[in-house]
Amino acid sequence: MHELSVANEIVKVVIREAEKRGAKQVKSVHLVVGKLTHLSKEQLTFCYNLLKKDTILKGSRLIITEQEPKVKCSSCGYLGPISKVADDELGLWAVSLACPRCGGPVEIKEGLECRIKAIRMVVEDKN
Amino acid sequence: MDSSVVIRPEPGEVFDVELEEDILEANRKLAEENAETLRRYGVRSFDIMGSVGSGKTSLIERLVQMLKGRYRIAAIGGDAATTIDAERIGRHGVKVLQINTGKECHLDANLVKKALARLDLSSIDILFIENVGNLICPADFPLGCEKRIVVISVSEGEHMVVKHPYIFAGADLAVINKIDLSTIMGVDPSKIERDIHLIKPNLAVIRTSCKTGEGVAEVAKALGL
Repeated sequence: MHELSVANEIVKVVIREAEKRGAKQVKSVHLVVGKLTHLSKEQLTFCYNLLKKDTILKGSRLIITEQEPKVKCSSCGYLGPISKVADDELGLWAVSLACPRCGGPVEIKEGLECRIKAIRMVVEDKN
Repeated sequence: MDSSVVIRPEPGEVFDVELEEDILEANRKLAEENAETLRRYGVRSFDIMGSVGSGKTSLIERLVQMLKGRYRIAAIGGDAATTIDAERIGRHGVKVLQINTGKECHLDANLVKKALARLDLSSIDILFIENVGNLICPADFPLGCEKRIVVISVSEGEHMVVKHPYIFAGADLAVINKIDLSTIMGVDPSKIERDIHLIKPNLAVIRTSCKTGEGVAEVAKALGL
């Protein structure tokens, strides 16, 4: 369970960016979360909503986009979706670092991120 | 960011800021700094991960017993609370630091950085870092060690690998421990090994019994020790 500390970092970064621009309100925060992380969308949102109270983020919405994993194979040059293995007997599936084309080991290119992509904010009215 | 390059919108305007700041990247950068520190002092470092009760401490104890005549060894133990594991490893006459994470479920690069600052790295050849017993969270938080080792035991049942694929995906060595119990447990270690290779085809797998010492020499060899 590290959604709380990750959400706390997000709130800190957003407050820093909002203050830098003299914003009076944050409307939304757009986050990209890789499917290969263990971060849960629901728990991140729950923690975000707890932490935003009494801050400039109050009333803002956390919008999470999930990033599909992408891998690269150094032997055959494959670049694309990660392969998945299924255990039908158990109804389980998991990702595999075997290249879907040649079976060799692949390197993860996308899917491990937790990136604040954009922040929508309302800037201070000077009147 | 330099404030002179920040575009300032008109007052009252709704403004979208493109940021591209990665929250997990902060840990990865610190991990890279730890790796650099350890390299500079010529310290070989190993992050031992695994479930609660899989045998992480026992494996470190066995490795310490086997290697302490040839190398100067230190260990960092990570647990939510207590110094029990640090004391177990410390009994073998090596320098041990305990990190108590409190409520956090994993070690992170920042905690390790603080621990490294308290060790005399010039007097250490090998550093074992025992992560918090957990097959989930440590996967997202590299510490900067040269190699990451996952310890899984047959007493956890046959399906631990497919239930926790990411920790295996990020590992450099998998150890199947408590091999002496496989018959009693009715668990086939070959099945565990097959699952590991489904997730990561080239991952080295070694079977051990930290109780009898079986396989421990192979682990040391696989780590280049």
